[in-house]
Amino acid sequence: MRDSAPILLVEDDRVDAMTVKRALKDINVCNPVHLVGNGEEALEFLRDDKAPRPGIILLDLNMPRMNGLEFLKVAKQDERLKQIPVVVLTTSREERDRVESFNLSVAGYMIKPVDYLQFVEVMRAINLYWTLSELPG
Amino acid sequence: MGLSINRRITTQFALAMLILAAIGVGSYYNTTHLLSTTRWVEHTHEVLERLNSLLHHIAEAESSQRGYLITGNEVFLEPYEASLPAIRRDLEQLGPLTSDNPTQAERLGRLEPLVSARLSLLKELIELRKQSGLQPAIQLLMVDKGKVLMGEIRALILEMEEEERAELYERYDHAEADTRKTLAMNLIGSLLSFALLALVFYLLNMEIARRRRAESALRETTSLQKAILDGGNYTIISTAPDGTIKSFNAAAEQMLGYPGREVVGKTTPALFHDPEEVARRAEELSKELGVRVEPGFEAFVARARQGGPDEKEWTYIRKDGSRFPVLLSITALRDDGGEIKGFLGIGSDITERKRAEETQAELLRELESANRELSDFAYVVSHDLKAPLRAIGSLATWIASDYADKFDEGGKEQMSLLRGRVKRMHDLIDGILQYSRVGRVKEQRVEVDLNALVREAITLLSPPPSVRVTVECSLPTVVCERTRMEQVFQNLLSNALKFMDKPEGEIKIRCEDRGEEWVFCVSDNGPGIEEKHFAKIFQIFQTLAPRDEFESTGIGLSVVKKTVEMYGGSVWVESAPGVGSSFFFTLPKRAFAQSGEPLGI
Repeated sequence: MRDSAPILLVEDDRVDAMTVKRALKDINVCNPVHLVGNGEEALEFLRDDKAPRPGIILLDLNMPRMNGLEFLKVAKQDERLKQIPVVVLTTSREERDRVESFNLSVAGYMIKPVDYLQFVEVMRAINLYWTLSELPG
Repeated sequence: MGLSINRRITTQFALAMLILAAIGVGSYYNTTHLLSTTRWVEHTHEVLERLNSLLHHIAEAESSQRGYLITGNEVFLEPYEASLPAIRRDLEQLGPLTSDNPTQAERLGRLEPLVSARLSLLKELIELRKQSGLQPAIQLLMVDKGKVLMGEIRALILEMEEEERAELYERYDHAEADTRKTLAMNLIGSLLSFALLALVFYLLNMEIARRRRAESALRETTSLQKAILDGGNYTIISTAPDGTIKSFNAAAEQMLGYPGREVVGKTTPALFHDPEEVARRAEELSKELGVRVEPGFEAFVARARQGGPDEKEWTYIRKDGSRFPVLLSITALRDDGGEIKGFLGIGSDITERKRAEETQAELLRELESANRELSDFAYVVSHDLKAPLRAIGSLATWIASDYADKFDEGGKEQMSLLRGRVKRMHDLIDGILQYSRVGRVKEQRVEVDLNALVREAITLLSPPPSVRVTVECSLPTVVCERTRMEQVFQNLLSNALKFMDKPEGEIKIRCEDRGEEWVFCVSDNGPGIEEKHFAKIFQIFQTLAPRDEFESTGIGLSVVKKTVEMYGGSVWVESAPGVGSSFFFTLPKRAFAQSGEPLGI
């Protein structure tokens, strides 16, 4: 993936996290992946000066404590965080989730496929997008 | 009608009176005439009597003179002496009696000298007898001058008598003719006035009957009004234009607890209104009407004053202080000229309705919350059931690839079955979500050209080359939720494709305009369905084919049915096993009211 910027994966499900990591490995993306379990932990990580600043955030919506949409509301208010592209990775096909996510300026909204091989394809698309899209410096 | 009949009665009555008056005048005239005729008869008789008496006295004088002439006895002269003044008197009286008739007067003029001459002759003879004795007197007598004179007198008197009689008969004739005329006139007049009076009587009777009918109708109306006023379950209160209560019906007395006498004559808003509510309404109305409405009687009638009835909810306060809501309808009572003569307020107790409305609102709230829960439940199902399922799927895939060398053929097949079942479970969950979304999730209604929509659906399903899908006629453009309509066509088409068992598949889409509704049909030449399954296939989770042969959730047709029925249409199937199936559904045009014209047929 783009340079070697780290990827922040916000995901509470261990198998889903494994799926993402495995799929990235399968398409030869070697950027470091930092895993946090919910929105609170994600904000904590992002605001920690010692922690590396991620190049992209892969965000699950349904999480304990602070869910994806709640995280987006806070992050997009934060001058330092709002430029980091966020791609939602979720099982929810609900229109309201999609609408709300885009209202909160997400860069993409991907449904997690049940089939692993399709999941790999989704990760390939995200990689392609992130690699080709021009981003603020 | 009444006015004209009154005028007719008056006219005819006046006419009858006029005729009677004419009869009266006629009779008076006639009677007067008769009276004068009678007087004339007397007059004639008097003339005749006088003439007779004259003749008689002359004859008496003559015979008395003769007696004396013969006897020379003066005793015989006594009647002669007596008749002389009588003759004079008769003549004197005849003068005025004949003065009206010139002929008679002239005859009398001739009679008087004759009588005088006769009397002088008598006197001469008497003198002659006195002085010269019988013989010379007889000689003079024999000259017969007296007899001639007497003859002339008699003739003249006879003439006069005849004249008088003729005149009398003429008068009689006149009087008789007059009387006959009067009688005829009286008869005709009486008959006429009798007829007129009979007509007047008839008209009066008719008028009386009409009035009696009107009166009884009025009595009926009055009793009906009273029944309405007192029988109903409505408070009916009437006021003068200034708000003074004029009537207060039985229901008002009963519902409010005030006897009528305590409120009639008082000015409303009376004791049974809430002053705060009145003030609030006055303020609302001031804003609404753009004119200042005083917080008093005007707050009730300002709207009714502008014409038409006004209906609003108000609070009534009973005498015991308890309150109840009423729906108060206020109407301005106007006279023929449109001027307001008062107001009528009809109130109905809406406590029950209010309670029902509250219950309904409560039920609605419960229903909404249940719906929300269901929606949340579907959302949870979507996410929470699918997440572990995906994990199972992923783990199965990894196990199969990571430990491929450790599995024998049996193990590999089982892993493959495991992944297949995960997929089926996933489809089921998606199906449930789709089914629950119909009618629950609101979607924007847009104009959809079904021709384009069906074309897209066919492209999406990418039918194999062995199946020919044709749209047989132009489809209408409807205003609907696009996704729903897509689901209907996609489900029907994908079923037809999925179960196609012929080497040359035919799928046809048709539409028929039946005026009130459109009938759509998706038919195929697939395996067909036995009639006993017709109802079953539209139920959720019902499939006919084994799941291992056809991946089917049994949700598609139930979604079609639910969607079509939500639009007020119906769905059914016609099919023969081995020949094919036709799925029909209708869409009532009124459900797509905004734009329902079929395009380009």
